Amino acid sequence: MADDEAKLLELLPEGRALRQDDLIQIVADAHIAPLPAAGREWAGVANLRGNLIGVIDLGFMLSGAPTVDGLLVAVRGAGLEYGLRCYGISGPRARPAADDLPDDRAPDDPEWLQPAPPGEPRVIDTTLLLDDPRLQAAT
Amino acid sequence: MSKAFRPDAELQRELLAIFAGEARDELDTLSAGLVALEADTAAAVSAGRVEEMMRAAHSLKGGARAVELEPVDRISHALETLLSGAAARGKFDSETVDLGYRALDAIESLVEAAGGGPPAEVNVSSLCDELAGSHGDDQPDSDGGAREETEPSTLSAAGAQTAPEPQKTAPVQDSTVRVSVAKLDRLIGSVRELESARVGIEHAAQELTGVAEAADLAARQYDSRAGAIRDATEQPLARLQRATRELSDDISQARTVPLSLAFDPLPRTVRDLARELGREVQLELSGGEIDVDRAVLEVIRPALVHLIRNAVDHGIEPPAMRAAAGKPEQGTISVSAKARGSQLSIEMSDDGGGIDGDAVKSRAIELGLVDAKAAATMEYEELIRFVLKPAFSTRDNVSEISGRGVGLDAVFEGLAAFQGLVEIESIPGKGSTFTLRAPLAIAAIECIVAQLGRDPIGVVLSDAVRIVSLEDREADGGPVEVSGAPVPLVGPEVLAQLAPGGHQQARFVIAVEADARRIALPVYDVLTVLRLGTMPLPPPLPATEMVRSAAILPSGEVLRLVDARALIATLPPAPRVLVAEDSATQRERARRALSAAGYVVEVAEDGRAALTALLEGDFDALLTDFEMPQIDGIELVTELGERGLLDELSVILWSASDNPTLPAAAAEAGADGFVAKGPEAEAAVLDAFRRLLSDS
Repeated sequence: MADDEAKLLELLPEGRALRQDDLIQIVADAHIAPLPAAGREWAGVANLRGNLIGVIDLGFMLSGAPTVDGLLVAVRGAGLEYGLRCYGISGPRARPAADDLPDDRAPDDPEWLQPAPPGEPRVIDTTLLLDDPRLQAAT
Repeated sequence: MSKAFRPDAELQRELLAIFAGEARDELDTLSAGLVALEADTAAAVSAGRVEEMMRAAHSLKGGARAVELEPVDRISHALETLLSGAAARGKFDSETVDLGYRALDAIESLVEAAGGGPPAEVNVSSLCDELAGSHGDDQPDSDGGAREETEPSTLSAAGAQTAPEPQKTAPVQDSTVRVSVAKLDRLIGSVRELESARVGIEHAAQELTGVAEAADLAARQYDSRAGAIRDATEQPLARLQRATRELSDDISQARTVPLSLAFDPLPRTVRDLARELGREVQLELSGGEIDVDRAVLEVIRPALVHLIRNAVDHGIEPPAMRAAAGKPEQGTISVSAKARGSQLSIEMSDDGGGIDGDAVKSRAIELGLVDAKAAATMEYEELIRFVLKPAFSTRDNVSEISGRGVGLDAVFEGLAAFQGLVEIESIPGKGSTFTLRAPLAIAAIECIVAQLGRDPIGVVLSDAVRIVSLEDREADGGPVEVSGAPVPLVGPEVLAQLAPGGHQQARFVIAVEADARRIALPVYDVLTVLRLGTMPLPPPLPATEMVRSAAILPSGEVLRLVDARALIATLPPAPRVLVAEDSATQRERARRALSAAGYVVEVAEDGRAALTALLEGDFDALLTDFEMPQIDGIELVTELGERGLLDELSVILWSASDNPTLPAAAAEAGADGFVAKGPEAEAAVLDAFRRLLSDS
């Protein structure tokens, strides 16, 4: 596979991917401390190279079921660094050609999941994800 | 001829971010210069000040060219022309200063737009004409470049893509380099990792020493091997310790900036607001030379701007009103910073009208922060703290200035993340003082590391008053005795938040204190006390009250620091107790015991004073002596009963008399209990009030 094709990283559960450019680090055994009252969409706060980052529970965001164990994928978006908790990485994927992308996203998909051709993973927009109103709730 | 350098989009974004920081510094310099020049219109223009401003305008121009922001380049050049023209005439009148400010505003909005902010509506050509034409002879570009006029334009983020020819750059004269805060933050993170690893290795080395000693005692044949390992560890560990400390110090030093950067926007803010609102305000600044960590500055800077807007908008009265009150027509706002040890203290005082207690009360009731009955009994000092509550504003209509309902609570939140705080003092008619306290640097602080559930939690050592072992006693939800006084336990809902996976049976409580109240946090184990660098929770995490900051343990785990004030805030409002007692000693003993147990206590020296206080104030409980001058305890209770005030008042009557009929007499008068004075009397009173008030 040519380098310029391997631009996506498919996540587990399958069907979603990250742009490799958005990836900072994958941490297999990260300690994520829960954060009181931040909402279940937030897995908590973790240590990334000596700095704190907030960690979003991707499983909860997508299905409403918390991700048990899993790994931490540190990403950047909107000029910030943060983490996604997911079950794993299934491997690199080629980015579909622009002409193959459908115009509309799947009806139940949030705005931060970009449309993808059938059988291809939908790409997470790491900037738009932070605008999801569910992530703003805290007491 | 070599091809012109054209940065790609990513590099352009990075360059713009660097330029935005640079532009902010230069704009602050120019703004402060304009304010000073305006204040000195009668005096000779300071050549040094004008030179400094010319340098700032020139730097702006050079930076704008480097990032291809032609409109900023042109305005900066025209601003230079304005300044040099006015300097040549030796006169900066208010028209010149206003024009200068318009240029600064235009540059600021253009830089914001280029960085992705809202589009800037600036007529560049017209503004440049005014700057260059009305007050100065149009000077040639000091770089010698010809200026090309273009049509009036507006600029948005997308508008920053024009590509002028490469410009000559000025020779580098400064020995400093500009490092992005993000890069410094990453370096700090790496230092923390090193520190964390160092502490881990230190612990392991200590353990190894222990093993070596044990081995020495148990079997000497292991000693030489363990000793060799220890020796082999000690030297590199010492080097690692020295290197990490030096690196940590150097990086921390690299992050410090003068506090004056937080002061820079203030003169302009005061000038503009005062003019808009018709106020006359003199601003006094001191302490700008103090060096603070950039992260602290980032919190302090908007806090000061917000407070000073409040002071001009809400504090300083219009000149006529001030004159009528016998004050000088010109109000004074002073901002004074002092460094004491590792702490920064900034006092912002104004000589305005003070905080309007009635307006605060009404707004607090309207927002549901307090009910009318409780508010009626609150002291002024207590009331004015409501201004720190989220979304609090006393303005009926949201104003564009400072009544926007956001701000003071954000000031408080920002400081709290650094274990800082805001204090308020206000005297109606005389003025207000806001004191911001924060660390000078993000220094390590001592934290208690405890285990509640799966993840460790921390408490800042200075917030803790005592750690109590529960031993065989079970924390059953009732208060725990700490230093002889019952202290309520943190509720199960909060514990569930702190340990969402469940928590083990508590074996200890950590009693914490804030705002003169105490609460006990049950924990399974108290692991250690460590000196750790704490950090505010980073965006995009939402702000949470219970945990505002965290630290990284030597193991690499995150230690969430529980906020003592947030724990205290989970307690119900403290019951208010009146102590009616003619003996000063007994009165003070009772007051102290009840205060330590979390009650709000007031005292009366005799029965009549007690009756007056009870009729005027809103009390939950009364502790009254039996024998008192004027009205004794029985008469007092009887009077209260006749006035129908006993339904919502828990009353304990106490006496040193051994008259056996007193308990019955107290009950007949309407008291809820009787306590015989003696060594255990206060404990009995506390026990009785706890029972009575929880029942009610």
